[in-house]
Amino acid sequence: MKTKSRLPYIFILPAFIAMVFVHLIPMLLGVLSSFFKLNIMTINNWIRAPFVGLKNYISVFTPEIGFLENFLSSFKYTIAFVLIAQLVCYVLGMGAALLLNASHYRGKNIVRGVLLFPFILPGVVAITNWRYMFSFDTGLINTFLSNTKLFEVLPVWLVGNNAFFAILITFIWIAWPFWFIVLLASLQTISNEYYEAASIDGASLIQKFRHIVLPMTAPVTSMVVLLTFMWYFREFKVPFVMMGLSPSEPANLLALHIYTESFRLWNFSEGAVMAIALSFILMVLLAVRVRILKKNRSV
Amino acid sequence: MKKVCFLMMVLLICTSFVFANGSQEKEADQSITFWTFGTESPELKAVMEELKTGFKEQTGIDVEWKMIGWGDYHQSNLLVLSSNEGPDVTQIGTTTVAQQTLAGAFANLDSLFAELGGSDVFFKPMLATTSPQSMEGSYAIPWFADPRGMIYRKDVLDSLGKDAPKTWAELVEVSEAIQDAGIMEYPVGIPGSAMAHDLYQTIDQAGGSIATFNGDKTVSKIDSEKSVNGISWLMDLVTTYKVASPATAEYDKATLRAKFANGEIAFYYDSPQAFTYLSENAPALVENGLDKVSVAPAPAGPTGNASVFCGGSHLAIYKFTKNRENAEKWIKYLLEPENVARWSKAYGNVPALLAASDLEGFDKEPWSSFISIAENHGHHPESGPGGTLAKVEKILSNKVLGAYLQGNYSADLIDAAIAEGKLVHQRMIDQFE
Repeated sequence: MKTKSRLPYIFILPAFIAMVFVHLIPMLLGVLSSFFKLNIMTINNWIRAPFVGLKNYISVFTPEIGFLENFLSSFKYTIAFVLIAQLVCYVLGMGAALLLNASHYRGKNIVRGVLLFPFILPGVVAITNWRYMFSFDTGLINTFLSNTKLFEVLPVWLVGNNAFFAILITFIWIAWPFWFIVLLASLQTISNEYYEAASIDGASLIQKFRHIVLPMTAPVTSMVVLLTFMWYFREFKVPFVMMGLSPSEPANLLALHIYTESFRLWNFSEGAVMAIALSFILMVLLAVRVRILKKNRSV
Repeated sequence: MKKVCFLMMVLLICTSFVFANGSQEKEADQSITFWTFGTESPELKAVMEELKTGFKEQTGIDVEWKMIGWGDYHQSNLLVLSSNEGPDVTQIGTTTVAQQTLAGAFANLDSLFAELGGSDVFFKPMLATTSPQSMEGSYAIPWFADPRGMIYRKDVLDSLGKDAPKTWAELVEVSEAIQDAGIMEYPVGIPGSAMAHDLYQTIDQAGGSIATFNGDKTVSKIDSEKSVNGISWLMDLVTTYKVASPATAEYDKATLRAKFANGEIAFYYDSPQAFTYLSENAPALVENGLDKVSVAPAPAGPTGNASVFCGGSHLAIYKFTKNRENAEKWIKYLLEPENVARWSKAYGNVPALLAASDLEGFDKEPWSSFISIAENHGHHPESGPGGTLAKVEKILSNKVLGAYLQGNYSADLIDAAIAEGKLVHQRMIDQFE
């Protein structure tokens, strides 16, 4: 009897050990390094790096030193990036899911496969292609805009404020199929009887959407919103592949900013402080969001 | 119960295997590891295979060679430095020797340097970067030089009756003449997304420097009056004189090479690799020697300096190596004149060893021009902790050129960007104090 009760723990032991080594220990080391002077001179023998207490926290959060302004700027753009990306991905994903769920035609599976293509394509390949498409001189987008004669001066996408839209568009292109497939799966669980009953009662399409689709997909949507909030907040790949380290401020998302400070400018300790701050902010924002979602569900 | 015991055993064996491997000390053996940086072309691979075979025949030592892209250069150096695990011998760029040495990565190579012939046998512009300014001795051995020159369209200038510009003012004047003739929209190419090398030389042309060592401390000087003049000049080519594209901030060196080959720009700075690129992608431009495309020193700034950046790569031995003796043998073998010449030629640069400079056609054009320009006008920033402009170049590009693109440009932005850049630069320098 005793053996049986221990068996599940033994099975999860390897995964637990892996988690300890891969997640827990590095995380603790990260927190620890924020209290030491860890830079290019001490990284070689980091165990003996001088203890500086809260000095790194003071450096990062004191305006005159220069870290805070960049951190806050990255934070501001990251929040905007996450919220806009979530909203647009939801609209696109839900729209495509509704269309595909409602229609009955041959080749539906092929269309579904095609819509999933951006999600399947290796990210770096897709992002590199978008980078070339956004190129000022030779990019497909500016070539198209130039042909439409809509712009007197063509936009520059990879530098300045437009860099934000360049990374946002690229990211949404890659990310929205995930929403689509999850929402489609959720829509397929809604029984036709609800729609039929609504039709008999004379409900319009919008009313059906509002009173059937939205509440029935809400549990899945709230889960996707929570998950993607965390994922999108840590987005690194798109701005890094498109613009490299230290892109224009609007494209310098938090994860990339912390990476540059830590691994290119060798401010490892300050980078650790920022990473801790990011985790803390993320936890607070998530708690707020969970509360809002719970409240909405209970209404 | 048996199953449980079996599972525990498997887990134990796996864990002990992982730890046993992790704690194994690297023993001295008859092989060495060697890292180079760049793009692994078939030609380079063939040359290295021949070098490895020759070395094996001569000494019985195997060389495990790894070519890493320049994009992963800093990350690779950091990984080696933080883990004390890496190659025995490495190629190291001239701008980062000082930082790596100050951080304790490299072994002192004084005896090897002397054995190879000392400073007299190497290309002069390479010697200042074999150690940090603040340290005595040699920590790197010059391998090949990467001298820059102003690559320009001689045929276009000839058609307008103009010579290669010799001053900043002449560069603007000739560029405007090209624009007026409708030949090119923006004749000057600047790699705005990675312009550190252009900044080094422009600051020197203006008489400034990016950092100075006062015998005690290194101080960032990118905000000195002369440095600001140099930086402003580079920005002005885009913002004031409008002879460089407004999209400069997007460009890197690869973009400029392609634009030059396509006939979209008439001037930009590059190494001899430019000619290799042109012979592959626009052979008509280089089929008759330097008739259509030529190379010259940079237009001189107000101080009369026609400086061009002269970088390159050294060879260094990591302190942690257990194969010091074999590592030195490998460097000596690589530094044999024929071997330096073959590798430099395949890499597209020029040898840092004087005895190799008349081999493999290095005494002919365009190589000889690059060598001569580097000898007379070659410039390298001070070999110290402030030798690189990480992030600073991006701040200037994003804040100044980015604002220009959005129509928000004002001259004050240059000062603001330089002030921010100085903060980042000095913070990086201070880590080494």
